[in-house]
Amino acid sequence: MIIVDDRLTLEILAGRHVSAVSDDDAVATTWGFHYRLARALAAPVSGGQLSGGVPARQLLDTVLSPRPGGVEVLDPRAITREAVAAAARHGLNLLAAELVGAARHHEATIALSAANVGRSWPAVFEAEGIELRVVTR
Amino acid sequence: MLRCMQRTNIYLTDEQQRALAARARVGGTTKSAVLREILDAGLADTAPVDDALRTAFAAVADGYDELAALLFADDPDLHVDA
Repeated sequence: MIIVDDRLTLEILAGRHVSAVSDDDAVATTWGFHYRLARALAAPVSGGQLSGGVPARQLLDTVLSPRPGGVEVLDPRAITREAVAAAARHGLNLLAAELVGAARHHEATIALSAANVGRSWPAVFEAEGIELRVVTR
Repeated sequence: MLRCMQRTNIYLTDEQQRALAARARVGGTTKSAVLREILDAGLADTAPVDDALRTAFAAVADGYDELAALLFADDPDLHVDA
């Protein structure tokens, strides 16, 4: 399994190739990144109308409707123990703790867009034995 | 609606056979018709995101880093570098 962030989820929804993800990978995201993406699509700053005349509401509905074969949103309840432990060890916020907890629980690789690599995160992932792939475009 | 169809053999469990027969009885139709309805619904869910949506998602993706920074920079739970 490979866990992607909100930006890479968008790239996948756009039908673009994400270099860190192969066709054989089961692709998932955390609830935190899923929430960020939904929140961004609901943001007033994104306007009511986006490219191609597609209403933002339609994009939000698409993101919120799970599609078989799409990016799976991982249940945060299943990884709470690992997330709490990681937060206690490294002083992580909720987003990072859930990400580390999910990767450890599911023995997954993490793929992040360059803008979403927190300054302290690579060292945390390394300490936790989690592979990180960074996607630059 | 007139549909062009091909005959296909599939294996079902006893439980699936019973459930299919029950649904057909209730609906006053055939097991084949029920199965086609289920397949139509299931396959519709897996339909790929259409081109207009993909274009719109691409546009959002291109400006997403700035948007996310604006929205989450001051959110202690959701920004990327606590």
